Amino acid sequence: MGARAVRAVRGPVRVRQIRQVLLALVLLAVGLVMIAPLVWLVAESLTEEKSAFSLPPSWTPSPFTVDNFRAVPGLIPFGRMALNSLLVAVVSTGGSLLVSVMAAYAFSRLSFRGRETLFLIVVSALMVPVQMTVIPVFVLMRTLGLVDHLAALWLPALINVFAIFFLRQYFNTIPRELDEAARIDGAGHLWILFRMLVPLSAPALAAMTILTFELSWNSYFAPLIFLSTPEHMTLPVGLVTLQNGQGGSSVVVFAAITAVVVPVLAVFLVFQRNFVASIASAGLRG
Amino acid sequence: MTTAPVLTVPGPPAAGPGRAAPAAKRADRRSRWAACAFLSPALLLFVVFIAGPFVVAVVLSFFSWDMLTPPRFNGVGNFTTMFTDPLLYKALANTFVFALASVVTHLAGGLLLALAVNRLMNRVLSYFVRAALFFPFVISWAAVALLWKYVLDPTFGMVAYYLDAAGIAPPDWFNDPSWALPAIIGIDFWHTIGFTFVIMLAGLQTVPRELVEAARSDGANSRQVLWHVTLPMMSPTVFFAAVVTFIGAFQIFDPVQIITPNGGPDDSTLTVVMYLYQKGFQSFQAGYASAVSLLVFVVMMAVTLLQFRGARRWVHGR
Amino acid sequence: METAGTAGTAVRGGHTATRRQVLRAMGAAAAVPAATALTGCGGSPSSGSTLNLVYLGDATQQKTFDKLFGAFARAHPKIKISARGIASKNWAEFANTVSTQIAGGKVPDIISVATEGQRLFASKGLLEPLDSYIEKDRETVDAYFDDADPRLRKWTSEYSSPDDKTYFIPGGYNTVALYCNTEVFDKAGVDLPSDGWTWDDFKQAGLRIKKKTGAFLLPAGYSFPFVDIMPWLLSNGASTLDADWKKSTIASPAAVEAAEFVKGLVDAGLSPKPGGTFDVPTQMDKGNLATFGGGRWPTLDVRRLRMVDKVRIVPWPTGSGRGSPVGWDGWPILKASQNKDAAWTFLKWLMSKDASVFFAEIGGTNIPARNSVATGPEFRKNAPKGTEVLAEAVTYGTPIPCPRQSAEADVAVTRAWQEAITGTKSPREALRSADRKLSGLV
Repeated sequence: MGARAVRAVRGPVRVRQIRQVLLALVLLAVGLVMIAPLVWLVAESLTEEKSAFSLPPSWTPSPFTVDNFRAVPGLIPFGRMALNSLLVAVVSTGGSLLVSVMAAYAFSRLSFRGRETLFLIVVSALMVPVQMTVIPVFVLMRTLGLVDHLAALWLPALINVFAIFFLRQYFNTIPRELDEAARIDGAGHLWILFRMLVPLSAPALAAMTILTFELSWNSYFAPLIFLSTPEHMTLPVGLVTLQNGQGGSSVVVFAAITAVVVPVLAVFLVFQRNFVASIASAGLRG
Repeated sequence: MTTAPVLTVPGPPAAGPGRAAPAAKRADRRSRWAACAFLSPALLLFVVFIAGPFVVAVVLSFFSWDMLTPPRFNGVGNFTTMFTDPLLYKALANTFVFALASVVTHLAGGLLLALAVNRLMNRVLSYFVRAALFFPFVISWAAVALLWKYVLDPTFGMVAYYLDAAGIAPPDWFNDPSWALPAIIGIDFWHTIGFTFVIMLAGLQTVPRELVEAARSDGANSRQVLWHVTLPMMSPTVFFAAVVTFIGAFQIFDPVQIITPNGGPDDSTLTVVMYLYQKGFQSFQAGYASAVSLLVFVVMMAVTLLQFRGARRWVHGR
Repeated sequence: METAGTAGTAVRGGHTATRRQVLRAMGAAAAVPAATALTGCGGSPSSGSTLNLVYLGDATQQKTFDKLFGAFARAHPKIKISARGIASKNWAEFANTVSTQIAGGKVPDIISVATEGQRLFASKGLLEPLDSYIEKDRETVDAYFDDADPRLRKWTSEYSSPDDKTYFIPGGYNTVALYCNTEVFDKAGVDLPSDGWTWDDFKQAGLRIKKKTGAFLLPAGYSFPFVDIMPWLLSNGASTLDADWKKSTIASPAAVEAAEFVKGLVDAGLSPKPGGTFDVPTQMDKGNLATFGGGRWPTLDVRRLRMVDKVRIVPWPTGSGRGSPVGWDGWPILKASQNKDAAWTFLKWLMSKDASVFFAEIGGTNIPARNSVATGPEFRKNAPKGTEVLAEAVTYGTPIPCPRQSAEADVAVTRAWQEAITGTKSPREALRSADRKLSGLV
């Protein structure tokens, strides 16, 4: 079959153009529907209480005001909660990456008896749902007096089996000859790991950082169980205590949601490429 | 959601340690020490926060315990209760419905969107669509659930308004047993489709160009290319997405708990994990809750194994 | 069970009840002041001369508590006091958290407990009997009770103690009446009742309002039994439990009739669909709602929205008679407290007229137990006309039934009411299934 036949199958230029336009229109509609609730959220949160939530929905804030945001701290200790969330996310992410990198190194580069078995045991933990371990962990935390402390959140988060697995897989793709060469030059394990493998694994580490941070930042189940005083809460649980607003009105609740959502979206837009790549890589590789 | 990937990984074969090493015994011993040092933090944490609690949970499932007074041995009592607990059956049924619906909608939606976006020529629009699809996934469930309660408010919400304007009587979403779960499925789709979409798009881009071109020059039309080249090549991705989506969906908790804290009208949105939470942390039946958690574990494992088994038949390259 | 305590309830029920209402009600019902402390957290030291108070609720109530403590500090500069909110979902969970914290060495001295939690706490053996303190300060205590409605004291000993001892000093309370938007009524040409109205009058008014203005009559709900369910039951001579809280009465013909009436309001389009998310006071301000139910706490919203002048409070319409739930705060001292004397000093101060007036002034969310304050100018300042209706309701009110398993009972009741008024099941069927669950619990 010649070129003509191919063209016939693909259709003439004209048809293709029409198809593109149709496709563009459909996708544009999908995109708009996806972000509509968010646009509405932001718009209402910036609207004066008396005019908010009118129907048909208004997509721009008018009359404009930032008073709703000012009222948020009167409802929940927002700043404190944001700080708590940040603290937990940073410590969990940093700590778990450190622990995972070391374990991954041992599993990838060091030889010892029972290595593969041990690795299998550790990795099989991925099958254990958090809900199963949460009651014993709760009891443990209670014994340690850590219930209602942020440590109850970040301490268990330090062990991140998926990161260990993912990083070991990645380390395994880095040629061993590099280690050998370094070792001949007198380098120790720490040097090889932190000066060589870690920099070489930057994309994998970036992916893990993003995923772990996102997971911790958005986590609801564990904080719901472990935290009870508002000053100790992280943002997601704090937000839910607002339910219908407890002293302020729906616009203030909207302001609080917006204050949680918009920074995250902004960060996402900046790192979109890395973010999406990390999800895709965790998905495909992992 | 991040958990499952492991299983699919056709990772590079682990290079055998020591194979290449000229490995004197001394070096070997040193490496053993190093292994100890490098692994101990992870292993300690693993034992304390995963393996230990796992064992404790299994043991606890044979006790009845209110978390305050000492536990009482209860034999298989929790399990026999479980088999006759109508609410648990209801929760299981709801969870399976949710998980299946979630897998089907996400795979179909994600694949279609990926194919469509992949064909879109306009760069700006393509960027916008990809960002818009992914936006909700970045937001915490807490925010999403709160927001959607307003969006779906049956009287003053915007969906009710538009449906009304279109001449459709808006359902009373969270009061109507036949609508509550579908509403949650819809919200979940909005929240999580970006994830599936990204994975599908990445999978689509791994399909070798040459194969497609070759098929085309052999006279295959677009549909044929899709069915006979693209999809088979993408099957590992689709399979991965299915497993991850199922596992995530089976553990669904946040949105149902936030939107319908009681389990919805007629328990129509009660999920297994929610039930577990209620039993464990609201009625303080830690033993029974542990037994239920064991069930969740078994179901998840069984379904995952089944999926792998079935996958052998149709996944390309397996 | 239902109510006052509410916090638990509402939250679980989700939609309608606004958590705010609940917290307020708690605060109201429960707490005199309600508020908390910043206290940081967890680790507030519990020894020395610092008193620790815990309450069920979150940071919203903090300011009120802080103000109250400020006033206390002026009277008793040597005793420091700080409050900490615990955002539990119900009183059972709250009691559990408190027990856990006590076991962990964090011992609170005082707790603010709503009616729902009182029996639970007392029967868990966590509380110190107050009788010897009361004996010692007879004069102060008598002066307080002489000024309060005698029912409060009677109910506290009847319902909140598993034995003959006294564990709580009752504080402020809440009842339920209707907040009405007079502008909507005027526009529809409907007169507000000057002296009570019946369910029928109420529904007729609603139909007329709907026709003339398009506004809804009342937001019918289910997740906040104190407001959504109990007033209807009690104004028809029904309730969820009998007077001893021993037997379920939720499926009585009068109760079914009440549910049917409310369902009728919903079916006639006189209520927004139950379970909505938007806050009720704002909708009223916009003219979308003619009335909503509540105790003292909505007054704060009414003030915030600057609609005090267009709102009037009237008694709940009557079915077979007048009725309102009553929930109140109880103030106990913890058995494990190291500072019992200082704690008693605080309770004594709370009973003083000064404290009561002060609380009314700073925007408390309940009705002061002292009648002289409840009818006084401080309480009625900047409040809707008809505010006295709330205090009057205690004379015909019924304590909100709260058995020990109030959380489970609440779930059963709210669930049934939801099914009944949204038409998932017939009211009779729905209440019958709640009846079975309640009977199993009490």
